[in-house]
Order: sequence, then C-alpha cells, then structure tokens
Amino acid sequence: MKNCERFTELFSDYAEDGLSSAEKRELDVHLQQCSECRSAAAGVVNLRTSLRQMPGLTTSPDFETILRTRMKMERRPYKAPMWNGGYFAARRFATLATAVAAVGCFLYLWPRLSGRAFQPASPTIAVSQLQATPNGVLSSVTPAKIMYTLDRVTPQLLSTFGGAGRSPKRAELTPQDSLRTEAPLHLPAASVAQQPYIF
Amino acid sequence: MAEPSQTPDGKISDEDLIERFQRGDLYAYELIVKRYKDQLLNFVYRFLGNQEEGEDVVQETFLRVYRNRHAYQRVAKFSTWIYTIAGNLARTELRRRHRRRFFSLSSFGSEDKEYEISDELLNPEQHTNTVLSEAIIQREINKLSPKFREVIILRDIQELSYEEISKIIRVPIGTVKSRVNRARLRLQSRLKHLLDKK
Repeated sequence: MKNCERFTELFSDYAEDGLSSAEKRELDVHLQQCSECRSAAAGVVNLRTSLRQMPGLTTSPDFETILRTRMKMERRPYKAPMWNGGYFAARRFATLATAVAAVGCFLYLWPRLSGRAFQPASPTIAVSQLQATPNGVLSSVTPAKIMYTLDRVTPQLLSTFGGAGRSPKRAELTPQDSLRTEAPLHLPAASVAQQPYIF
Repeated sequence: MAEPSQTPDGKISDEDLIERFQRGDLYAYELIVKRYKDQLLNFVYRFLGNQEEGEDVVQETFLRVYRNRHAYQRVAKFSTWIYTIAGNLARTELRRRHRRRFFSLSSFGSEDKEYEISDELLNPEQHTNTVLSEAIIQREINKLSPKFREVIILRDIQELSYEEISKIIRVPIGTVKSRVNRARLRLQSRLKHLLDKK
C-alpha cells in the first residue's frame, strides 16, 4: 500500500510522458503487479484525453459590442454629481461652519427666548393677587413653573419655605439677613400657591 | 474603434500588441480581445460552471486590461498577466456567489440543479453521449476545491505549461504539479464509471 502511494504520485507524469526511463520502468513493473494502480493510471490517462477533448465555448455574438459600450463609458470624463462637487464642494467647509454656528446660536438663544415668549401678555389672577400684595412681584413665567420674586422676606416667611427657594443667596440668608438686605427670594409658584397667607 | 492600419493579426506577438495599445492603438486592443475572449471564457466558465457569469468575468477582465494597460511590463508574458486577472476575478465571483448562497434561502440549491444528473442518466449505455459526458465531467470539476479546479483547468483544458500556471496562481511549480496530480486522481476516481468505458 505504501508502495502504491509512492507510485500514484507518478501518474500525472506518466500520463504526460514526463517520467525518466528508470521511473517509467519501475512504474511499469508495479502496474503489472497491482491491478488497482493499473486501473487508476489508465483512468488518469483517459481523464486527460477527455479533458483535452472538452468542447470549447465561444462568447456570445454581442460580446464585443457590449465591451465597446462599456469602454466608451470608461472614456467619458467623470462628472461629479452636484451634491458631491461644484458649488457645495467648493464651499463645503463654509457650509459646515455656518451650519455649526446656526445650531450653536439656536442652542444658546432658545432657553432665553422661550422664557420671554411664554410670558403672559396680561397678568393672571395669581399675578394680580401678587401685585396687590406688598411682599412680591411676578418674576418670570416659564412653561414649567411660575417663579415669584419676593422683594421683602419676613423671617416667618423664610422659615416657612425653608429649602423651597431658588435664590443663589438663599443658603447664606438667615431671616434677619433677609430683612436687612431685602435680598430677593425666588420661589416656585406651586409653593406660593400652597401658602396663600404670604400675600 | 480605430480602423485597422497595421499588419494582419496572427503575426504580432501579444506583447507587441499590448505595447502598441499602451501607445494608444485601440486596434491592437481589439486584436487582443479577439485572441483571448474565447479561451478566457473557457477557463472562467469551467471554473465557475456558468456561462453568463463567465462572460461577465471575461468582460471585466478586458476592462481591467483597458484601464490598467500601463501596469503591464514586458518582463512577464501577456498571457500570464491576463490569465492572472481573469483568475482573480473568477475567484472573487466564486466567493461572492458563496455569500449570496449563504444569505439567500431562495437561491439555495438552485445552481446545483444545473448540473444535477439523475442516476438513470448514468446508465453505462448512455455515457457515450458527448454532451452528457461533458456535463458529468463539468459537474465533477465543480465539486473540486477551487485550488484543484483552477490548476486542472489550466493544465488539461487550457493546456498551459506548469511554469505558466505557476506564475498565474503564484505558487511554486512543485506545488502546481502536486495539485494537478491530486486533482486528476480525485477526478478519475469519481469518474471511474465513465473513464473505464473509454
């Protein structure tokens, strides 16, 4: 069997007459003794003949016409689509910078403009009540909440609201300080509404 | 294309033709196409097992030659260069087809049917039919792995030398010879019923 493997490696050269005379003699001796190898070697020779006799194909009649058409398309100068060249290509950087600036402006101005935009044209009942009181005036109105600024904060009032205020100075204020400095105190409308005695 | 103004075809070597084409002679390119279109189609068709795909690959091969004509240098044989391009494109097409088959359930098995030959057709009495024999051989060639398929087509159907094949597929001659031998042994064992009758 090991011998057979060695000889099968020679079958191709055998079929192509590429063996040396010594190799050919050795293989012939083996083939006389081994019917399996004899059959395989004959098979390789026949296979080679069959493959060489395989009918050749020809290209379709319009092969060259199609090729010429494709070549003409190759020769046509490339014209970049408008969105990929021309005006926008020349000013791509400027366009991008403008877009970024516009987005930046919008993001910067939106919170400020939206607050003003939502200010009521006329005071609400609460505002009129507020205006009628000596303690506070309407500070700002946003869609989320109505804020009041109390101009004068009594110690009692400040202790009532505790952590409800939003003044940046709130943490530093004591009731006495508040009376002295009359620092404005920003309070959420909901908190004010729940404490009607403020006004 | 340009009108023929040079010596008749058949007397100019491929290398001269491509050099003329590099200098802008489109007629030389046309002669190259005429010389190689059928033999490249045979190579690619036997490799892919589909004539339509084969023609597409050969078209693309000639377009690559057209586009990259200046990449060719006379140190290599033109036939080796063009076969290398066609072989690369055919292998790419084969990989693409495998991907398509993998992702498309609808196409699953459809191409196999093209070479499906029923057992009754393998009746020894009918095997002498040339067309049938060719179909059977082609089916078995398609079953070989691409590396064996390529060398046996180039060697036994295209009848290129081992040296040319070695340059086309860029492997040593010894490896080419070994692959050819193994491919032949594999094919002959599968086609035993057909070959024994010859």
